[in-house]
Amino acid sequence: MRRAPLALIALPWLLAGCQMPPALAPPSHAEIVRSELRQLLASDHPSGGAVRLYSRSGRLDYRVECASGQVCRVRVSADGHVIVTPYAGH
Amino acid sequence: MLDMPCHFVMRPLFLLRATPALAAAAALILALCGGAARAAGEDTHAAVLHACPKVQQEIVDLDMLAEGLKNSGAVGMFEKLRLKSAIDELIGRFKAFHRGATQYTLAELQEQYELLMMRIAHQLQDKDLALHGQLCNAWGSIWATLQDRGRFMEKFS
Repeated sequence: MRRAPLALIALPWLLAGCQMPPALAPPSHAEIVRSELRQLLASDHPSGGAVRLYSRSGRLDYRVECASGQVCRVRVSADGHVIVTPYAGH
Repeated sequence: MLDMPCHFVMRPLFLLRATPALAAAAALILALCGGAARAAGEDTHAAVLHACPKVQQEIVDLDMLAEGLKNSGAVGMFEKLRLKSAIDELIGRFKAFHRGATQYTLAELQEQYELLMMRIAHQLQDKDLALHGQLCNAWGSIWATLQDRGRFMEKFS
């Protein structure tokens, strides 16, 4: 009895692996905000992890709670500097 | 005068057909209301970023900002790529918005824009004073272009 070539057996498996991934839904606004805040904080708080909660207390002024439990305030000063400080109000 | 409610002129459009004088008056009120809206927008910008350093050369759009980032020594190569990608994604969201997509509201897009500007400013501050100053000064004018459908489509379509 003649055996099927290995390539024929493997082909369906290979094709299954090469299928295009399903189109991802665009991220929600909250996901984008969390991602931007996370990347902004990455240099100051590399161990902070993902942003768990955030709230905006004014334009360019955020209270951010990281997965590590760190809470900080991120705001922009009058001269355009981004200032990250531990949040004092919790 | 500037605080007058501007929405009332939008309702009785049939009155515009009534008399030329009435139409002229409505046009005048609309012009004043437009000025008030612009003034309010500028005040919001001024209230937060009122002490930007003076700069020799101004940035007027996101392309110039991206070009400045590309040539800046303050940002590492991988971060440059990440920021360029983030700028392109934001422009893509604005394109979709101006073509009628409702995934994000204009207020949400403004927040996304400002967070991206914060992220870029954070990278530049204390390292590239010239580009940081340009970014600070251009914060409001870039937003004005992004939110204005006509100006945006002229630039990006």
